[in-house]
Amino acid sequence: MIWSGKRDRAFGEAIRPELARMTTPSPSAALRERILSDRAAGARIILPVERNAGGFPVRYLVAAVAVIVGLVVLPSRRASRDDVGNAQPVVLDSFFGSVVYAEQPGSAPSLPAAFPVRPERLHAGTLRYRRVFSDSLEHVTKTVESVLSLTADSSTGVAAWRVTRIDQERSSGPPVTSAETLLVRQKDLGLITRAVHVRPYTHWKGINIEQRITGDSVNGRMTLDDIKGMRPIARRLPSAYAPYLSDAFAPVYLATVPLSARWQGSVTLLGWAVIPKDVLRPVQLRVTGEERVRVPAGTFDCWRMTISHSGGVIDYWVRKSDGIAVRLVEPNPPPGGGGERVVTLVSQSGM
Amino acid sequence: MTATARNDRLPSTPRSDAELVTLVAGGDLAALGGLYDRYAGILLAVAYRLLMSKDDAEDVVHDVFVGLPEAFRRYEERGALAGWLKRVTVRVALSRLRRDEVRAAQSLDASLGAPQRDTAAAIDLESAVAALPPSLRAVLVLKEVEGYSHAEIGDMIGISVAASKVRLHRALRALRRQLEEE
Repeated sequence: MIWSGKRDRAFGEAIRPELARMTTPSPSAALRERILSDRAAGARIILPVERNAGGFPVRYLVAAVAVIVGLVVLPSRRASRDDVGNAQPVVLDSFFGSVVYAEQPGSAPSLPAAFPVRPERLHAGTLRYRRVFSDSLEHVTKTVESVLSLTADSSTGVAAWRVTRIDQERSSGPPVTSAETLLVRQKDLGLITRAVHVRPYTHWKGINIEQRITGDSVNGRMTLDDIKGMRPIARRLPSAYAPYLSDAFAPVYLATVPLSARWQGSVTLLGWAVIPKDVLRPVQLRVTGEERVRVPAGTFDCWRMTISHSGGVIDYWVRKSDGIAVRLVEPNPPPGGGGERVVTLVSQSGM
Repeated sequence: MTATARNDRLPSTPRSDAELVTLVAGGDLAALGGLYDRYAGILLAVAYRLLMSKDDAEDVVHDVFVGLPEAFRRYEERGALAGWLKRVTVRVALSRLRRDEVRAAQSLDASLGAPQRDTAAAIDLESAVAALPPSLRAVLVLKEVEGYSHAEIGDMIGISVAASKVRLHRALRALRRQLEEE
């Protein structure tokens, strides 16, 4: 292969000593003091630790079992290079980009707030989406089958939509299932409650997020399936960033907004809010044109849009007839490495 | 002397890594300070090479040490503590790097064709490394400086072995271009 040629190797070896001698900062007493002070004040951070830290014997055992399974139980799949050894870390992706890596924004959105002007345009039904991730070599690395449903419900006597989204992720690693359930008020689509469950989640068996949104605050807790204890969620939601939107609701939200040829607006995705940097994720939405788009669910006349956020720009198509998401293309989705993420509407019932 | 500093100094007798791990897992701040004295240097260097920012590297090291007591409760001693700490640090640094990576990788080809640098400034290897897109710099540093295999890098970054090799090639090619233009 051209990229592993002798010239590269020679150059790499030539610069290695100089790379190793690069000037790096020295650990300071101030940093030491900050760590100990924060720790003494109750700061807690969950680290991405390997489940069997340094456990080479266990790794070898797992590898041996995988080989045996591959040779004996699954001979028809022997040619595949995707096995347990190539398992990739789980990365949560959201419809409008990666919420999990969101950064606390420095200033409020500059575009007009995209409040739901016509919430009555939402109807009960089910949408099925397929997300396909490919790497920089255009190999499919992961697919996610997503089912989004809206059903009429109520919360303390208030008419609400129960929004559920179940994602089944398939990749070379273990299958991942995530489920998000929301209750939103029908009259203004304000968030009431949110529950997220992901299994497995990175190096844990599963993670659970429970949120209740009251006034300008989100409160709740995070738990991990294999670790006792919980982390509280208590964050303020500044009005300057409204309207707040949960990821599960994103594909249908623009049904409630009167889109036009030069429309633009902003919404803020609500993160899991466990850590300060994962609370707010403002996104800017702009209509950039009109296109006819063909997806598995059919051929539709669409508004072509861009979704701008701190991580980049996403191309987005929604149906002109009802604002439902039809297609989305995100270049270089997390965790990086080039490639793209393509989301398409596969089928629909109701709505 | 601050409240925390009063209690974070170890006795004069050096403790083993295993003893420190046990103490830190039990919430002993003095032991955590001892681990900082012992390992913060190498962890800060790893984080800095990946992020090329002193502030970001310090934030990563801060997060790693603050999270160690809980992490050590699940730690199984089977290898060198330093290696384990470095892997954790790399993972935390990479998660921070990904945010920048998405931005930078968006115009990956463009940035390779026109390196981000001040043309008036002398380009040495360090500034050339700093000018690399984060996605390429991470693989370069992990492979050429930290000595991880492509399989390990792929596992840490979440890419295939082939993609790791491609990135290394691109990083080396970009470095070579910049140094040749100097």
